[in-house]
Amino acid sequence: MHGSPATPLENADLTMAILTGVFIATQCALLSVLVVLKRMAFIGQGISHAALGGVGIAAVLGIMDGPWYFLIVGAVCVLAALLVGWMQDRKAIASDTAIGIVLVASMALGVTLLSIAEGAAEAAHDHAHAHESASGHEWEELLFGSLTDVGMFDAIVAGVLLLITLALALRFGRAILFWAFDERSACAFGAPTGAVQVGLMIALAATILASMKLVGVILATALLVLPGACALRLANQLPAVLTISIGTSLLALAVGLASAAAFTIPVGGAVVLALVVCYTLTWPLSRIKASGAGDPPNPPQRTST
Amino acid sequence: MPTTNGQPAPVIEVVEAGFTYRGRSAPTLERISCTINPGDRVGLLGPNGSGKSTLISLMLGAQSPSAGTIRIAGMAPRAAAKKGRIASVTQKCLAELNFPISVRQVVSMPQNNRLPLWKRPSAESQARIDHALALTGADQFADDPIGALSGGQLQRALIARALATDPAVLILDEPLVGVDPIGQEHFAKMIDHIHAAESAERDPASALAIVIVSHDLRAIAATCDRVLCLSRTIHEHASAEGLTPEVLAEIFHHDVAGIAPHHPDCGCHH
Repeated sequence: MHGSPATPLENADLTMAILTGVFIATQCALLSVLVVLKRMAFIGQGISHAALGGVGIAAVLGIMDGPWYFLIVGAVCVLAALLVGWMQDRKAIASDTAIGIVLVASMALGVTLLSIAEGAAEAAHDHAHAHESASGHEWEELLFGSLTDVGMFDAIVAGVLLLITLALALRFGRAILFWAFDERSACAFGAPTGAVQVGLMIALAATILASMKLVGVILATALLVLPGACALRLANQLPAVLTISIGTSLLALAVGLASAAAFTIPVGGAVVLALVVCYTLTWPLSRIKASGAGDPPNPPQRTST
Repeated sequence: MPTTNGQPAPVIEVVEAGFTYRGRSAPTLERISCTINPGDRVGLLGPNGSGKSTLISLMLGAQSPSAGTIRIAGMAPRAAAKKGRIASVTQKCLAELNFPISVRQVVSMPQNNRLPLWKRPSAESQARIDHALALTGADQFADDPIGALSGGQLQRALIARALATDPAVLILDEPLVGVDPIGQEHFAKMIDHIHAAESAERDPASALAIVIVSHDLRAIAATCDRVLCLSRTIHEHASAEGLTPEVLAEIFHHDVAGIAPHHPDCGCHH
């Protein structure tokens, strides 16, 4: 991480950033429909914050990039996701409490370990590097993303992840839908609900991991909520919902990347603000559609806990 | 009572079953024995806390009995539920009704959930779904979004979903809670229609059995031929006619204002 959000295009490989962005936007758009319908937005937030714990562990080990970085942060995200699922299944604790605990525990671990890593680097008299690795800009990039960090490896990870997600969605789409629509009945009718739930948790963790560099930890979850929320306001048939979700996500990405390039602002913030504008526009749009077609849109989605 | 031709294999066979919740000393169910045959329409009557939901969860394989055995269509309950041989429609629908899918898609979910998206359901499966939609009258709104249905329509759609798996037994848990008298009449007609159609089309040994679970005798009297009264254990009655408030008070050991009709006769002649 060597860039500064104040000058995001210096050293940036824009082709790779755009490619990664397209893969991530499509991936998030597909998952966001499920996240909104299943009210899993808060779980997404918990997993993304868990990533900070992984970044801390990686920093202590002196790894700040490459496959091992992905592996460590990814493992922590998946563990956090499975831990939340396990705590919920035991029913000993409310779902939001479970997520709240995992979220703060991981953040605290991340902050502590990053600080230890900084101390260790200073002790090794590597003042310049230590100063950079934990500077305000570094934190800002970690939290809000940056174009400058994204390279070919990130594009490949995002591309492979999208391919795997599409393949799994095509193979298990009907079981996933049944689980998402009516989990208890799906379980009673012998649908593989446990596998679907674990699979979705892992997919969420992997998606957040892949999105982290470009849009940052805090804003990764926004990509997993807003495209689906927009689409569900405008359509009531699944193919249309998925198409609008992907379209909205890609549009916001294009607007966000262009704004980041034009006004030297962080990419994550720009993309998410573009998504928020899209969502705001869906309110008058859904009303026009309802009055024009006599076909009421879906009621506003209840917020997730 | 229809279609007990000879000695058909029972669809539900409960032998001396008992169940005690963990941490409780008193059993919720004790020495439950009952047999439900193909084509039976049976009411399971009991006040709140009598163990109705527990007995249903044992029949569906969601829990295992602490004592005794339960067989559904000759199989262990969980296996029968997975194969769709026993299907239930619960009192409270826990589905996400904002889902952007049609009634037909919902009805097809249990049958086709293991099929990849690139494969179309078989003609046989489609025919079964169309038949289930027609039986319940849900074919009239089959292409509507599931979230746009009224309460009664949603109940029909969920019964169609249960019927589409071609079950040997259909369990309806408190189907008439919050339903007005006209709705109750429509419900009774629908159950009659489903029962008559399934009995006429199937071989008597595989006719559909229907179990209606309720705390209200009126709901059961209008739709069932036989009544099982549950109060920790089972008391069987050949019809709802003999279940006067006095008999019910004796079975349930307390006042039965919530169970029995206000007039001893009215519950049996809808």
